[in-house]
Amino acid sequence: MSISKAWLQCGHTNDLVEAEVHAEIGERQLQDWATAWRPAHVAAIERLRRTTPGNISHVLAEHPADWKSKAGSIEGWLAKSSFSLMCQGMTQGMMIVDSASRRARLPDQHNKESIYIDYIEAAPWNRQIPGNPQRRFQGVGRALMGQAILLSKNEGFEGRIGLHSVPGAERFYESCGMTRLGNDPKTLNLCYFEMTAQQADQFISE
Amino acid sequence: MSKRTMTLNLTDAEMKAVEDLCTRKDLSKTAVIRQALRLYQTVELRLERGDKFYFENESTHDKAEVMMLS
Repeated sequence: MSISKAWLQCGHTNDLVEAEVHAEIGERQLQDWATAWRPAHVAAIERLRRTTPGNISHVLAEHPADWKSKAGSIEGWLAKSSFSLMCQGMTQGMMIVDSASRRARLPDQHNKESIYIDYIEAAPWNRQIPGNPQRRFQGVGRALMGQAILLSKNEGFEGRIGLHSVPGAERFYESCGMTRLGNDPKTLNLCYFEMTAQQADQFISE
Repeated sequence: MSKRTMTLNLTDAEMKAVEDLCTRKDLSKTAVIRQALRLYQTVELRLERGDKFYFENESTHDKAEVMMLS
């Protein structure tokens, strides 16, 4: 299992803090998910329900993602890779990508190999949720996106990546420089975003 | 991730197919073979789960099931 460095910004001091990207979601990460992420997600949902009238699913999924099941379902599957972002002894983000099943859709790179991000999530305390206390770390999503781009380059895909976004995350992917291709009726009508090789280089240079 | 090397014995036609794919996909031979292996394993895993494997024509929406012989 390989480990690379990344930097996050502390939400309290704005200082840069060193983090590690692990090329796996292992027992330790799944334990963090079960004992820390899941309770924090449930607490955030309860806070939101008290403070926000109406439907809150556009802000935060009603039920926490089941990372144990997701990680278990890809064991030994060559097309799938998992990553976790560790900082100060805690899992701060997780991601699962597919490097074989999806092709690029933008006209300039149509049908070319691309890394598809199946799942990406920051720990609940790192997310911008109304009524949430200050985020513990900023930059978790960008660090994981950077890892997906790096994998794409290492595979010879020149940085091309694609994903379907939940509504609450669309602005984040736009801020990463990805191109919005519209809602996809074949994937829960979620909006599909894609990054070109040039956009990937731009993202890395920032 | 550690990597291992193996010798692959291919016919001329098979090597030409690999080289054509390298050109079309702008990928190295290693990358092409790795993608082929990933796809092959994905198809096997999905079939074992009971999924069907088919191609769909984007414009006509015609679906043609790929019959996998076991």
